[in-house]
Amino acid sequence: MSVDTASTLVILVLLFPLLGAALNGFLGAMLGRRFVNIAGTVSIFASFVVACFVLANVVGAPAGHSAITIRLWQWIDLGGGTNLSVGMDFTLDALSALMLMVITGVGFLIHVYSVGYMEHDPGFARFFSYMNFFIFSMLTLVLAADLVILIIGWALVALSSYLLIGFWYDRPTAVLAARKAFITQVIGDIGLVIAAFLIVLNTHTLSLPNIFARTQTFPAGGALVTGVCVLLAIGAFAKSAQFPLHTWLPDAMEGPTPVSALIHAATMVTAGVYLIARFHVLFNLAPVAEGLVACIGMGTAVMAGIIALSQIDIKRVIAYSTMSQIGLMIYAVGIGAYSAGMFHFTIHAVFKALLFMAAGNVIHALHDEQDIRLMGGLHARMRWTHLAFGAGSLSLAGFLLFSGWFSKENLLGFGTVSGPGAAPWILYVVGVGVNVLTGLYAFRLYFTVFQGEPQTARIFAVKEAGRAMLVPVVILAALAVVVAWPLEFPLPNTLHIFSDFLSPVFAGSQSQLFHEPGLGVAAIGLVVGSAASLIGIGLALRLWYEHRPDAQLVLGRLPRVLPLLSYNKFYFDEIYDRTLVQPVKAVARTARRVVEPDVMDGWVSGVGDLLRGFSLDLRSIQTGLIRDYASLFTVFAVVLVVVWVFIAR
Amino acid sequence: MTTHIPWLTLLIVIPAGAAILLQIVPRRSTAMVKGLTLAATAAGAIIVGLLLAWMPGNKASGGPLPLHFAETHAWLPAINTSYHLGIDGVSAWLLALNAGVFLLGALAVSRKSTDRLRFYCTLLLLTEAATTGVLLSIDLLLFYMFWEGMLVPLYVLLSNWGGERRGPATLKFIIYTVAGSLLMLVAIIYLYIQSPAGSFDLENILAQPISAGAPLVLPIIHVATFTPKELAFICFALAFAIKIPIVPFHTWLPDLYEACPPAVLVFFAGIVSKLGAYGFIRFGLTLFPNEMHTYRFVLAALAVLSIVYGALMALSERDLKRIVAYASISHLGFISLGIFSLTSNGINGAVIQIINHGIIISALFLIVGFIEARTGTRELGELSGLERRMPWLYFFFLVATLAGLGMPGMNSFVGEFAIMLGAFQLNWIYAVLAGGGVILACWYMLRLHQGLMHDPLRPRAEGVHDLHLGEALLLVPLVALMIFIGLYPKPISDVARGSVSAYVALVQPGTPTTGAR
Amino acid sequence: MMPIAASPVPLTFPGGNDLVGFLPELVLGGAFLVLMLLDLVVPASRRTWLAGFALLGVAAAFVVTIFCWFNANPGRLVYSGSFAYDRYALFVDAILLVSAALVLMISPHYLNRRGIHHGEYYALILAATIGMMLLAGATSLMVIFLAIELLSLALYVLSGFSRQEERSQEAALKYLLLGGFASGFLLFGMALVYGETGHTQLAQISAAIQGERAIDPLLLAGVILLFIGFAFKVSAAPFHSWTPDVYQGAPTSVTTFMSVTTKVAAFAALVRVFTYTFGGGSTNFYTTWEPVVALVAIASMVVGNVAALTQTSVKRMLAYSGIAQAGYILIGVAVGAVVLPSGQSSSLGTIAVLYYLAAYAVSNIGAFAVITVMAGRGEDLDSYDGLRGLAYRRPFVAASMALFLFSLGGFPPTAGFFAKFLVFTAAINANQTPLALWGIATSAVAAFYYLRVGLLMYQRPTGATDEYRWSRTGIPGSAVLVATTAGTLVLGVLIVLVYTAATASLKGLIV
Repeated sequence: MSVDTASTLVILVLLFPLLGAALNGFLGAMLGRRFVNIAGTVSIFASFVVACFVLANVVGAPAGHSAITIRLWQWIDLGGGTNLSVGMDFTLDALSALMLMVITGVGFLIHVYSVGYMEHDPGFARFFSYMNFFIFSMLTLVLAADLVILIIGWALVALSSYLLIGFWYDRPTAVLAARKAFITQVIGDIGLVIAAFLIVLNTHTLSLPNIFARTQTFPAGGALVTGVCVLLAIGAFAKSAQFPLHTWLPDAMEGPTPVSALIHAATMVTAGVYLIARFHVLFNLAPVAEGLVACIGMGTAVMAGIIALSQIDIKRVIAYSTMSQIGLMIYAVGIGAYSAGMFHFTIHAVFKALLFMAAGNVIHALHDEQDIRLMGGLHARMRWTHLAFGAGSLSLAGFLLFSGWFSKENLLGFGTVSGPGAAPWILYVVGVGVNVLTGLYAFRLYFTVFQGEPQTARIFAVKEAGRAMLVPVVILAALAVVVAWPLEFPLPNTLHIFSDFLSPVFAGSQSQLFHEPGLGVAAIGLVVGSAASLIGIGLALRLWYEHRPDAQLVLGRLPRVLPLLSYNKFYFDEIYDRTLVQPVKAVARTARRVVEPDVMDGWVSGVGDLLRGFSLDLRSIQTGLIRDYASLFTVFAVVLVVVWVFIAR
Repeated sequence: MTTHIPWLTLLIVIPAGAAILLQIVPRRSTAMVKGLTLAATAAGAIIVGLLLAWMPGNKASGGPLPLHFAETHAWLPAINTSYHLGIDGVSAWLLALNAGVFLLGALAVSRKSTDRLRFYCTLLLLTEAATTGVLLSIDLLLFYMFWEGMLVPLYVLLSNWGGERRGPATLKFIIYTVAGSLLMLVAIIYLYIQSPAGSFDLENILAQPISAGAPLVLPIIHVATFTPKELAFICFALAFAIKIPIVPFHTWLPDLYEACPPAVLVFFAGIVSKLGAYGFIRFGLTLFPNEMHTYRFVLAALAVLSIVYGALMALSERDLKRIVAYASISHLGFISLGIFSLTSNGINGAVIQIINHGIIISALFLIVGFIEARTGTRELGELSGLERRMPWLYFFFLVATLAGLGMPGMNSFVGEFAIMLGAFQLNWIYAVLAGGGVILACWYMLRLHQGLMHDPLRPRAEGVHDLHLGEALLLVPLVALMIFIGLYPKPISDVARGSVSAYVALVQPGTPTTGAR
Repeated sequence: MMPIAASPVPLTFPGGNDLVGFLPELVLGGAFLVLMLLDLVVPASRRTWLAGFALLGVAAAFVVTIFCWFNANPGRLVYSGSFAYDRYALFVDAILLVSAALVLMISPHYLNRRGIHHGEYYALILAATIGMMLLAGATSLMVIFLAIELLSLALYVLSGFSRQEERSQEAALKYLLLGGFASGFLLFGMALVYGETGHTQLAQISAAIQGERAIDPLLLAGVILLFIGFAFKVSAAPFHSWTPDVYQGAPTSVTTFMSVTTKVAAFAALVRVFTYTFGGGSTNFYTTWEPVVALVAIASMVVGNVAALTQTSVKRMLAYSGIAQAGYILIGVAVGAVVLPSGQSSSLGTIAVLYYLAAYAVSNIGAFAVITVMAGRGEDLDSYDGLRGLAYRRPFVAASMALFLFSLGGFPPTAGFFAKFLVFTAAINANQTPLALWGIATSAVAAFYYLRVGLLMYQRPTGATDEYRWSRTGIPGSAVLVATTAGTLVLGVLIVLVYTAATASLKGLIV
């Protein structure tokens, strides 16, 4: 595609959401709900249409020319070289096109959903303004072709996330959650910024294509590139809620449910996966960093899965499942299975958005009740929602032939052979375990909410959600079932449209950890994985549907500490509070109470007091008596003369 | 046509003349007083704008630091001091900021009619004349005249308008500053006597380098200490460090800002505190390149200390003004860090950040002023949930807050990114510590912003109303600039870059100058 | 610079030449005599006329001085080498006359309010002025002593001028006794110098010192005693103890007068005697006494400024500030004689002294003038509380007062700044940086008490009850304030005018 087309497309795709945000923000309150609903959704749809054009262009482009980078304007120029020189650069390639599709597509559905969800909220204009702004930021992030611009997008999404988490600003919990999320994000940003410093000082550029073209400045496996990758990974972890920067995500559920669906499930939180995929060229040079990323990803997946088992807030359960799934994606990109990771990201975006929105319907219907212990038996009263949620859960659990199955098995398949030594096998086994966990928590949720007996009288009064909230859910439900079929089959040399589409992006270099599994291994892996998820679902059935006493017994046998840790999220919040937050506050308090008055100001006022004292002494000499004056005079005179004439000389 | 008119002199004469003219305007006719003040400040702003536009076309004077629109007249030939004005890429932008904040200050006063308006405007104009002079002077003695003379109108201004404890605060400020600048005076005289040129003119002094001299030896213990030149440098550094201020010379600032009326703070915090940073660039880098290079790590460490310490204080303070004051100290720490990194990135970033900080701090103080005027309190704990009552103020405040915490996409990100890059080139540890400062900044800014705007509305703030148009109009340009500079900082760096590389070349010979590109 | 060697002249009747060289003093003297007679005829209610006449006399003397300035180039010694007719003296005379004029302008109004308006006041002012002018030109120890006594006697009377007021009487007595005491030292010093050199005329003394090989302890003792005598007159620490009490006790207009003029005249003589008689030349005699001057300078700066910190009376504060100022000027005296590595002695120090005197005159008279003209009926405007809220009733007076305080504090763009600047430059130039540093440190302290007074004026009047009832400024008062304000600013910005004059007068200086 020509540069002009590309520029036009980029400008348009960014412009529409931004316009929507501005209109809704500044005029929305005046122009009323109808206007806001239209402006909010249409703007996203428009940029979805543009995104489709982008996709068409990328697909249609002749081989090897699918990527194009454009510069809107020179951002700053301090002379180039190690001196900063940054352009407002954007890139269009398969990866960004994919991201565009997901963001605008899912985003549009969620916006439509929000029309229904927010219909009684006075802050609707603000809400849509923030939502549109988020889409704009997210698009900036994925289109950016310069690290600085990427960082800007990176921070803008954090900002919109902050704004939307704290949307109900008169809830202190929401306000704190927003602050926590934002600060965590900033920690990640610092990681990116310092990575950028290392990059610009070594490659003398910050433009992504040039960085990737100048990898020769990074000796493979060297400390430098490893450091850069680790710093990038820190950014990714903060954004994708990976250990140890994961604690903000569950709190983020304070925001309205569409926000959780859009930002904290489908798009923003997966930006970390995107980042690593985007920088695969560097990561491929740093096996150590890759290994670290893979381990952290898998570790988070397990931890989140365990936590999800015992949470009682419907949204938090889904939040932890998101954390767990992203853990798997991070693991995938860590071992160099980039397209597998991106594939799971795509599918996950669909079914996780679906789950959240379905959950949103439930919450809406129960008037903001989120405690699953007070639900149950909703299947009869909310058929569509129930079906949709079921489809989502099956997809999440990786039930045979549901979209989730394709992506997750595909992802795990690569784990079977990646990397040296026993480590990959351990990771793989853990991954299979995660599969079991997924089935467990997914269906614990499903059964407790929709099956069994209603736990409160309120349930009987529940009505199915309105159309605006139902249609998107149903659409996504359909997608959650079928979307993966035509795209990818988790066996080599079969159907690989998706990975072929992305291949030009990842063709450049290969991770040392990465190996294409042979057909046999893949097949075994497929069977094992599917079995694992079935086991998980089965166990859930026993435990939370049939409530089998023997199963309960097994549960009772577990060491007491396990459920405790799970329920208290491994006490991370408490640990961070004690080890980071409180100490800083204490230091600050000491600074104000002690250091400032006694040290910083102390020496100033000390000098003052000294002089004042001296001054008072001098006054006391000034007796006013002539004889004193005269004697003083004489003494000094004599001393002066004597000293000078007879001693000094 | 730009050459025959003494533009720079005009920049000083217009406000000064207007101040004198004000005395014949009848005290009662406030409209005339305001009008004249606005006209004078606006005229200054326009001229600065023209100069910025003409600068690329204007031929720079030769010599180590290229100067534009230079004017030289003998002042006291007997001791070789001259009335020598000139601007370069750095001072040009500071001039712009200067003109801007004073215009804003004039607007701010014409908003709410201060008592004894004429007197107030007179002092405002005199202050502008002085600060402008500081930015224009090339002759050291002339520079000192303006540098110290600035205190006279400021002193009267601060002692007249302000909060309860303004008396002690003002005294503290003046004494602190005077102590520093008197040391600088000695250093200036020393340079004058040592320089082979025997002149106060910066260009002449730079033409023939001054020898550092032998290290002084302590009388009894016979330990070689500093060279005389190093001592002179320390005197300069102290004067500037107090003005900026850099921790631990900062204690005058919070007290003063607390006692200072918002309308005054707009230009006081806006420009005065930047002059110290400017001094480091214009005189520190040129007169003492070797000394700056020798002590860069110490200075940078102090800068980082200010960043972190200011942030911690801002985190624990409860008074809105004091929070902003300490935030300002932290930001100024960034600016200093950029300068002391002695890198092109750092100094360019510092210049950009000087502009940004002027914009941000003015906005924050205006906002705090509006809130105090409405609620009658500055206690963070006594206010909350204002967003419900004042959505527009919320929006402006939000943008200012984000700019204040270095949000990427906002103006201060540009500066802080470049500064931290410079610091990283100096030594990575500084960049990392500064990064910690950024995280803290995020924390205290959100604490301030959310504490005021969010949570349930307090009864105290029940009756407050949103900004009226006039107030909003004060904030609109500032907020617009915050966003615009964030998106397109190039114009600033393009003007500054050449001069900055000249300075860098002085401090770090061997570094390629990038001014040519 | 080499002194003009004047051969001993046999005592002769003063010729026309001598009279011309003496012209300003003569004019003023004439005015003095006429004034005494007028006092007898002018009715008590019309005493202001006397002020007018005195002013006329001063003006005439000033005109004559200007004329002489152009005539006295090159200058010459008159009265058989005991009096110098040179630009140096005339420059000082000009300062003295202007100061006297300003004081005369503010006096009548003040004296009336204080109810001590007597005719002899003006005569005494003139007499003192004559004495000072004599001192400025004196080139013989005898004349110096006479001049000092003349001006002192007049001042003794003046400081006790408020007869019914105890404090004023006490001040006069203190001044008289201690003054006499100091004169003793002065005279003893002169005697020793005379005994060692065998001359009373500076020229010969200088020549004799040049001739000396080794420095004689007695001569040195004499020089130091002489210096102590002067130090008392310029109220330099540690010989300052009389100053606060006398300044506070004396009527404010008198304080205004003597706080400035005495210093000016005494410093003029000090420079002539020390810097140029005992100064430079081949044998660096100055090295022997210069440290003493420096020491006294430091002492004055420290004591004056520090003691002023905790004062609560404006007059005492200004008295201590005067002591401190004397210290700064003494720096100039100390380094004026220093011979630079380049060979010739640095004139910069002396220029600094002259500039400082001029600057100090305008600023200090201004400051005192404010409290003189603002003085309410009955009692002086003395305590700090008297100034509280002045800015809200008399904005312009307060503004000018602030300006004077800034000038005394040495802030640009006022006269005081350049005065200090030149002094410090001279010190560093003469390789006496420590002196400059002492000056710096003390100036920083000084800023505190000057500005504290300023703050008082700008404090909101808490209530009409506790507010001082200031008198109206009046036309002459305003004129004085305007003049001093203008002077303070002009000397601060167009420094070149006075600077060149000072340089010229220095070129003409002879001993």
